[in-house]
Amino acid sequence: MRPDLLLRGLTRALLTVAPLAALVFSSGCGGDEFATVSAKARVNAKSGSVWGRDLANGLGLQEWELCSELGAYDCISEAHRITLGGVEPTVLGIDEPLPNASVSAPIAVDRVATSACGLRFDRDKTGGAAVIFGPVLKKDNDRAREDVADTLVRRLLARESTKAELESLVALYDTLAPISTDLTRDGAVGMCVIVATSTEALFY
Amino acid sequence: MTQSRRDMLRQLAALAGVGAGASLFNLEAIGQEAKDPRFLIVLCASGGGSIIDGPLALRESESANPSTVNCFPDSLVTGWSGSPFRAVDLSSDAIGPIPAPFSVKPSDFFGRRREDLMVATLTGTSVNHQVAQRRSITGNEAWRGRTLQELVAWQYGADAPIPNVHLVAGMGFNDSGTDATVPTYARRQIVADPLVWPLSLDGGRGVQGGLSPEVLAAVRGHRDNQFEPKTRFDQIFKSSPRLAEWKNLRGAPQAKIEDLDLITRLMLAPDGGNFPLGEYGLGSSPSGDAVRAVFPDYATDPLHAQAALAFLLLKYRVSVSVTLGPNFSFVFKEGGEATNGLPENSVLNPPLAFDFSHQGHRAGQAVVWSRLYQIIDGLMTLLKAEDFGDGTSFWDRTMIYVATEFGREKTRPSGAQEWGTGHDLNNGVMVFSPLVPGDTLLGGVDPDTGLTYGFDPVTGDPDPGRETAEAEIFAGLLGALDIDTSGSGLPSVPAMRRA
Repeated sequence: MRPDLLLRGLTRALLTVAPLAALVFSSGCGGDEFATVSAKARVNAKSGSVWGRDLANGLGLQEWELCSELGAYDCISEAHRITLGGVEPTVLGIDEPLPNASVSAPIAVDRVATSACGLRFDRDKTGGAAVIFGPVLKKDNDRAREDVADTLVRRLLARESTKAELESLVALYDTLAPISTDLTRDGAVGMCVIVATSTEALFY
Repeated sequence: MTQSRRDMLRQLAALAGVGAGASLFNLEAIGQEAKDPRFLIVLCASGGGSIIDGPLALRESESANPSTVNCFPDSLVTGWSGSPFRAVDLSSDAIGPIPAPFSVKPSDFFGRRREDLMVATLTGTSVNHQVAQRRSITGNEAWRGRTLQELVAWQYGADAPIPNVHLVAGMGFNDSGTDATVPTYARRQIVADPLVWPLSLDGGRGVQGGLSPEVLAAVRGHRDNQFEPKTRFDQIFKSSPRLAEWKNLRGAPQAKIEDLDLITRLMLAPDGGNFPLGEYGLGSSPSGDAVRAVFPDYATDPLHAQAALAFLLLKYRVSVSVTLGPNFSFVFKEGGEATNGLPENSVLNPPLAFDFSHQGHRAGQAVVWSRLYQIIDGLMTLLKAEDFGDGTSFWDRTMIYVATEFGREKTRPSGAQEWGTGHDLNNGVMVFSPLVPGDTLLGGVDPDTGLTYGFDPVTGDPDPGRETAEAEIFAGLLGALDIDTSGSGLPSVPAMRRA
């Protein structure tokens, strides 16, 4: 084969493969440092009911168990329904979700997640087979904390965790150590709240 | 306001008026305004509150067409010497087709409150509910589609945690404005349920099995600064406006809300019953007894709950603009003895509020007006008793704008005491405030037709050849609230401002 034709052929092949390779690396298969920035950044908020369903599935709870204000008002379907992007056309006349996030929505989200994560921890502690927090309940060390962090990411975000994420979650214990009176619980529930209320859990 | 601040605001508003962004609106000047605020309460007369069934009622003896124009037997109409206002004390054994006896006595209310009442006539531009409601708060898009509530929140609400709160939802009165330069903080926040909403104002208190405040704060900080930036989702979508908005709310606005202990201060309900606050480490508002005494049906009547929370929002400087009103749902008060149909005064809100006039005009108007008067009376009582901190009361700087949507047809079947009416562009609005000329009617009513006519915007003199436009009412309200409208192109309506 003529050298110039060979060179042209190789160039064409490289031009075809290069964008594909870039896409593969940028999709995250290879590690943490290859994330790119979306130019359009089209992100939508999950409604409270969708987020609540994801949270309930991830934590192995029923939706109605997640959170109840004053023991009487279901957080997702009643107390914070509109705040969390729900609708109620019959009485309130709200037949479309609020176009912008309500100022109290992040607070309401924290309440729901704290209640749900706390309930999961307490059940894992006192019930039969633990769903998420078994490792730290058995022996609370770095390895167990990382196992729990990994489980939380897989169950709540429906994907594999990254090393940086796990390190970040486990580092929470260092932050809490000076202020917590029950580090095992606060650390475990805190990691759960972090993952459950992260933007990745709330938006799509 | 000092002259220098006034001038600065005028220049900045002029810039905003010709298309500059909100960032050009000087924050220091706005901060000064926030220390000397005016408060706006928009009370929605949902469904079409007819002004000639309210303070501009006509006597039969005044009209050349008493049997066919919507006017009242003279014996029912109460007036006051030197006052342009009237009240019709009415009772009946039914509200149109609803067998619900009622008895209303607005003469008591006007006897007490007319000194702070101005009525301005108005001829609107739409009889579609949603459209007319929106035009009630934008003056028919008179100033780049900004709403009254947004403008008040913009100028006076920079320091308030939630400046513009809407306690009723799903109506044109609740629309957002269409001007993207209005700062985010001034845009409306919907509160769907005044009773339970305060529970969303603290991330940790009252949560069963929750975390201590210190631990929760640390967890939040770790999430925002450590974990989230490491997720691929956050890295890829970091330029999303939605994410930016969410992260912003987690910052200063959230801290401001939680630091003010609003979960307690705004809690209407007392401890016990359906609200076992004490069991969850929570408590009722320090002002709870006072607001519950004035609005005792807060637990069953959404309008009472709205009004009670509206007062607390102003008192605790959470908001500078609150919007409330009846929606179109039927509200029935349980209890009471029924001798003929339903118990007397048991129907608090007929279906469709004022729009029940399609079925029973006279009774529907009487019942819903009376409902609004009760709310105004209660708010005035509370606001007058509340010291602003400088020797003046909250009421001294408050305006209650009764947005009437549109009027109703002015005629009736000959001699009818009950009939149905359609919508009519011709009407008027009520404004209760020390900021507007009191016991004053701007414009008038032709007793032979029931149609209102306008007034001179400068002198306030009645002008039977003129109609008042939505933009004039909008501009007049803004003027009375001392909102700088320079550069807006709005008409000047000094007649609506108290000298």
